[in-house]
Amino acid sequence: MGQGLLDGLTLLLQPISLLYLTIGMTLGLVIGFLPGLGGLATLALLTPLIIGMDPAAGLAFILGAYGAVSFGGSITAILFNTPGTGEQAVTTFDGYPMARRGQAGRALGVSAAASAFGGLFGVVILFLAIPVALQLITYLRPPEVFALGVIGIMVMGVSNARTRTKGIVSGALGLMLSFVGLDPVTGISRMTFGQLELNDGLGITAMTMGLFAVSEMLMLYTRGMPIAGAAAVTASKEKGARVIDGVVDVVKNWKMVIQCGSLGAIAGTVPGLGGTVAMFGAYGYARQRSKDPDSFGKGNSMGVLAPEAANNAKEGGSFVPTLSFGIPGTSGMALVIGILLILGYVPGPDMIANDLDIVFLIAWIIALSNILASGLGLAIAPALAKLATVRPQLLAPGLIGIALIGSYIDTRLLFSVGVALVFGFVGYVFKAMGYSNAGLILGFVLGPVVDQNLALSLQIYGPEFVFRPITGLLLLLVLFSALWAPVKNSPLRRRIRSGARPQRSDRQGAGPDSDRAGTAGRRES
Amino acid sequence: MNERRFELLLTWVLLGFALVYGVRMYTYPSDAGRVPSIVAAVMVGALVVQLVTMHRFPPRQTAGEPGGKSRDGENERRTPTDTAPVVGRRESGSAEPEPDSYETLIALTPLRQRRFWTITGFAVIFAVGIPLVGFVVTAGLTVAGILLFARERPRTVVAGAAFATAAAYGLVVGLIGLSPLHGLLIG
Repeated sequence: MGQGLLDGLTLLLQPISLLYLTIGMTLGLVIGFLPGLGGLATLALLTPLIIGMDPAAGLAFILGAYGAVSFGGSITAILFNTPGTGEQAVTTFDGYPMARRGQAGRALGVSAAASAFGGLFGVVILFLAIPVALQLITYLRPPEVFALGVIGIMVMGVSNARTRTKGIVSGALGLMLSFVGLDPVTGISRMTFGQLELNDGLGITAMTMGLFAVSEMLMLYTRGMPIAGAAAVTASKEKGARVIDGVVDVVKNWKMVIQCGSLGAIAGTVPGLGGTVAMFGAYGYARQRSKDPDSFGKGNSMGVLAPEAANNAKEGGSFVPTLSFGIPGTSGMALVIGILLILGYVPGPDMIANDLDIVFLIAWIIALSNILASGLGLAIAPALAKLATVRPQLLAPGLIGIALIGSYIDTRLLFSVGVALVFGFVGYVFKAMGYSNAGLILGFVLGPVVDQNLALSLQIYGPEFVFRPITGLLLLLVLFSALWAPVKNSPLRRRIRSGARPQRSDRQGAGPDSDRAGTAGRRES
Repeated sequence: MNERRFELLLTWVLLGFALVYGVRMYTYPSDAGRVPSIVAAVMVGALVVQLVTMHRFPPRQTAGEPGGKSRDGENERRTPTDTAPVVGRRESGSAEPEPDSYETLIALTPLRQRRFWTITGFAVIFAVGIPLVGFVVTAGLTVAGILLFARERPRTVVAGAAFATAAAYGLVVGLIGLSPLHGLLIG
């Protein structure tokens, strides 16, 4: 194993490999900056270029781009509320409010540093986890994967919508929309109304572009104010708003980086869960651990740190099932398998046994690209932060155009442009009324996972699958998180509480409102 | 329409969609629509809870709230001589970001209504223009059009249109190899 580790590093340190790594990273940052062109599109677009290349150089080029594209997407998520991919929506929760408060530089600093440290942590986990993960994954059957998917959607419901009910509605709507198209099990067209374009579904890129890019630009233009308002004009030079302040935030909260990195790396090892659950889970965890959870969603730097660390750590984790079993950990990994096949390697136990140097080369590339991309990102972040002060009259039309073109590039169907446009307006109304666009997209992304695993669970175990120990526990957790707040605030409990008040207010000689006033008065006196 | 009525309308629209979706999915053979029907039932349940909550516990009205027009309407009034940058600077006087709510995004002041319909028109024309004259021409023309409509300076209009055309060319021709002029009317 030690020899493989060194051989992998030697392959990467060849000048030609480093050159291709740099070119790939630069392309990755640029592509990541374009809304809608995430890691998957980057891999798809660059794959033809590596045919016939030396394996080490080819892998350095394409995986370097893949490693850097994530930070490029984080930049657009923070500055324009436009995530590079659907799962990066969680970075917008606090990154964008920070930019609007004039702390775009700090948010980018947090993102870059957390991405670098999280990515490194993910690679360490990859080094350590291969033998352990091989054992753990065998315990996860369809019922458990289904329950984990439902938990992912619930995390969103709790954290993002104005009310819990609206969170559930948003997630359910996302799930329902994801079921449009051919049923993967029976092949029956569902809700397609005879339209062939709908057989492949509505398209994740078009949905993401509509719900995040188009709706945000509609809002930006309607308001007529720059993303950062008046605050960001001088903010990048003020203490507390600079890029370096973001880096300091990450260094000070190194424990949170490790905790969220662990969460991301573990989620990455579970095929089909990947980044979505990792990022939302890390966000929920950071919020739960925070002394000021109410500040999340309003520009708390921990709300950027947690998902970014988890997202980059997830990449290391997602390579574990990909390289060990040939089972892609994420959708991007499905293309990585294809790329490895193009370069002459078959991912799976044989690759671990015979090509350990290539396995470790991949790990080194991911580690180095995370550090270098974050360094490059940090260098250009102050310049990019100024984009937050550009007037919407100049910014919004161009970005809407790019978003609509991006939705076309994914499917090559004009139908996708229409989908992006329609969901731009849906996202606008949802945002105004307190529904969760992130919940909708999360439901949409996890829809196939939930659909297939619930159908398989019912087929294999019948309805009794809910009584399996791990599944039952996870579903109880979902029920508890959905029902606890309504029960806690139920009319009965309110009546009990209001019934107790008159006794106290009798002593004060007034009603409930003056009870509070009386209490305040006592405190003041 | 006030916020409560809009909220009720939206809830009923979503409920109608969920019911139609659930019933249609339930009719598919071989359990193809079983999981979607279950999800639709969950959504119907959540929306019914929401409707009941809205009917039983209506929100308290505060003074000056209905219609949502009491917001900074005076600050937003635009004089004929104002250029877009002047209005932008005047409106961005507050360092506090505006919340996303019914008041700020649906109950719009006349100026904001005009902006909303302008950007909506741009997006729709962009989407309709693509199949007619292709991505590159559409991007250049629509961006130039909206910048002119926003009374930007001529050199800004030219630069914006050139940038949009170049970006569209790079994405459509450079990345996916389409012909630059491939619409129904040209190319």
